[in-house]
Amino acid sequence: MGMNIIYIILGTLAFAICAPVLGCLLAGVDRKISARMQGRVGPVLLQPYYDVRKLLGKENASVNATEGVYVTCALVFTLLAGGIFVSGGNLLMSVFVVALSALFFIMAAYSTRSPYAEIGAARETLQVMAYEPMVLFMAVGVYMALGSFNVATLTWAAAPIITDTWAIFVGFLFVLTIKLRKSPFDLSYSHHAHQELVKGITTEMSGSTLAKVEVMHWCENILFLGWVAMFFVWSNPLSWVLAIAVALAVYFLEIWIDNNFARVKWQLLLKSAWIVAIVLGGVNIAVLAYW
Amino acid sequence: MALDIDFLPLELEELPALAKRKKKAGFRFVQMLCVTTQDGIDLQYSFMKEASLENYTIRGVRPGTKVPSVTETYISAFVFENEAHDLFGVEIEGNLLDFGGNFYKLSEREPMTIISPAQKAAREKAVQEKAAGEEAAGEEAVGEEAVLEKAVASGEQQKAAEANDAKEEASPQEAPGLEKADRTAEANDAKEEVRLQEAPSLGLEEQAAEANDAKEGA
Amino acid sequence: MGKATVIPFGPQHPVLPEPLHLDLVVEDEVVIEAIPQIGFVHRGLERLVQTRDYHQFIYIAERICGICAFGHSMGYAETVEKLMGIEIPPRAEFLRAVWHELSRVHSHLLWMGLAADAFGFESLFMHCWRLRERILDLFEATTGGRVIFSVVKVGGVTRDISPDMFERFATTLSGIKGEYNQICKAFLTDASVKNRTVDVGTISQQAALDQCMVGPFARASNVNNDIRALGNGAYGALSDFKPILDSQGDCYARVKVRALEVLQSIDIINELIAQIPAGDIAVEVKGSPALGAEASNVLEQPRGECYYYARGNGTKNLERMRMRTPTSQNLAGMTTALAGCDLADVNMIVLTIDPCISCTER
Repeated sequence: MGMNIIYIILGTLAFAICAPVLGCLLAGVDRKISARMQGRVGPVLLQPYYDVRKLLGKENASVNATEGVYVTCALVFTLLAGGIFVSGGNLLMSVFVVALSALFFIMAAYSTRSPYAEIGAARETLQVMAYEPMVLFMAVGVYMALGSFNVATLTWAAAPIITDTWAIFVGFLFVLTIKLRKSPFDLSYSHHAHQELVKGITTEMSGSTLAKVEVMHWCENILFLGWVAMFFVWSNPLSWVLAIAVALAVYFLEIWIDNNFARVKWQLLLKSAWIVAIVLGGVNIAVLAYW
Repeated sequence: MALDIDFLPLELEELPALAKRKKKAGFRFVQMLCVTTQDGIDLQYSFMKEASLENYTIRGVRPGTKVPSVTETYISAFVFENEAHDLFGVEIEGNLLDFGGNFYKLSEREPMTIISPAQKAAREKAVQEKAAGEEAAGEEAVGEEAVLEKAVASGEQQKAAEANDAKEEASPQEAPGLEKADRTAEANDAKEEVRLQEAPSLGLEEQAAEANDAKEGA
Repeated sequence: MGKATVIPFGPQHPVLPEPLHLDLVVEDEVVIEAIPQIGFVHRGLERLVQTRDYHQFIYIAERICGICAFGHSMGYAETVEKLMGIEIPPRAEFLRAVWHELSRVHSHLLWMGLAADAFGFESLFMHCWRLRERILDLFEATTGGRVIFSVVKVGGVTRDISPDMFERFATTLSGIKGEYNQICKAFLTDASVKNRTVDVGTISQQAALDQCMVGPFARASNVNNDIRALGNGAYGALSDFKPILDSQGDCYARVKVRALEVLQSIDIINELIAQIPAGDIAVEVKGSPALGAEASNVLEQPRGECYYYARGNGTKNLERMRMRTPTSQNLAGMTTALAGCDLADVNMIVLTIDPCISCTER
């Protein structure tokens, strides 16, 4: 038990150092590829880093003091969830801690009492409600394919769990678009300010608070891509290369989807996510349970 | 089919009935505009159907006259009626979407009713030239009467002009937004206007100036 | 959720193209009522007739709005020419019509980009504006300006277009057409776009007639009021002009009408270029408008019908110049369309009237 906590702490520290760096590069690549798809030149690769650095240097102009505290909590819990995952710990725990981090983010927006932030927070709550069933089914599916919630057991698994859980994987890809905040599901917070909610959930966040939100998104992206890669890792050491390649391919797919779809309204989001969760997740779990 | 444009006169009381008639005949409401003239404000309502554009002008609405609204028949007129109220001071009764004077954010009331003194002078000159032109084209026999009438008319106009000038000096000048050159030109004109009015008392000033010169000379 | 929130929408808002203020009373993301408020860009331009004479005022008229700039200068010049009874050479009429139709193309492309942005499809927005850049390059090559041209004067136009330049027009426009068809397909057949535009903000034909709506906004509800069909000026030389109508009356129909109008304008430009007569491009205008003379004029701008009125008073300055722009007429229609819509649709509906508040307030 003691060793586990030490592993988790080490994992969190490693994640806290590597994930922002990787996430920043990933975000830079995202913007460059999106720009090229739109016929533009696009910003330099390190632009997200420059943006965060600029945000950190700004004056603190927040509405109240609690907003910054909530966002800091959200960031810390994201790092913790990442740490649990990369140290080979309990996947279900990782999922719950990420959900807790999302809740703190929503609370931060509600605490400002601004109409745009409130509607953005309401939409974010709907988004969490939309993707959470599928994510839980994913954790259950992994357990049933692997025999344990511990991610470390993947390293001595005989075959990648994708062979048993491909339906869940497809369903997870569907909700990944919501989690990565890409069109058509970028209702509550879009990187482009041209939506009716101004900046949605982050309308009242600025300066170092917004910088923390950015870093949190980078870390989340890396964590979710880690969950995607998890489906392709088994005892063969070369499987890591395959897993990383698949993760990058999935991210490219998400960029392509972002650039080719308009934003949907919340009713369609909720309906489609739940249908996907129930059909793909439910069927796969049923198959795994009875075969 | 080319555009067929008509300008027709209208009396204020006939306005609501006209609007209803036009609506029934299938005309659509195009716009309503106001023009500031010396006799008050002219209101013009335009209606259009296919290739026919009809403009009805109500001349000389004085401040304080209540104008009936046409928004019951044509709701899209609310924009123009609010504008007429904010920019020209026309009081319109029964506007279904009345913003109560807050449609435009203005820093002075009724800005479109203000005319700069230079403009006033130019307009009056044009009126007099036209009157002179018409009179010259008239017959000799009627000539003397016309001259008398013109003298009376121009006298009245000058009185009206002076009364209006006094009103303008009381109302705030439209300095912001005009170019510097124009402002100085208008300021000069204003000074000239003022000076013309004070002409009878110039004698006293001259005596005082002579007294001062005498003092300095001594 | 359940109690009404009041959301102040505008005048500063990233998705609003123009400074318009709406207080949206929202319950559960459904708008219960919305009253527009304008007045943030009132510059009193109509008052400036008193300081600029009728030759100089054209520079003010075209600065009323950046998108409809050419339309206003053309409408103003036509009105003053009517006032003073001036006939301009036919070549000038054709040149004005060519520039005006190009203005329509660039205005509709701009609008389509903004519409794509409003429903979250940023890459489509970028592509529309990329095509629009080529039109602006044409403007710069022929008039020297990309947005405000200053190429119309009372009595004609100030610059001519050479036959080589007309060749360039033809090649650029046919080059645009190919890519434009792809963009049209994205707007009109993509499922996610249709999800955001079909059955949104529907206005029936009767409502459109009652509220006297103008422009593509009204034509999408099957109200035919296209002034170009009357054949004034160079438009009379067109062999066959049919306004584009659609009977659905929702946002999708308005997108479709404007998308097809771009193609129609490109055809009109090609036809006018083929028929343009040789000759002078301007007549000299001396003197002043007569005292008591008045004239009015209508022009079909990209946003709809624009009404101009001029009255002379014997001096070099006009007594009154009035420009009634299409958005003033469409505000009533917008207010009714907004009642009962989803919050996510507000910016779509506001955008589909193609608001140009700087024109409305002058």
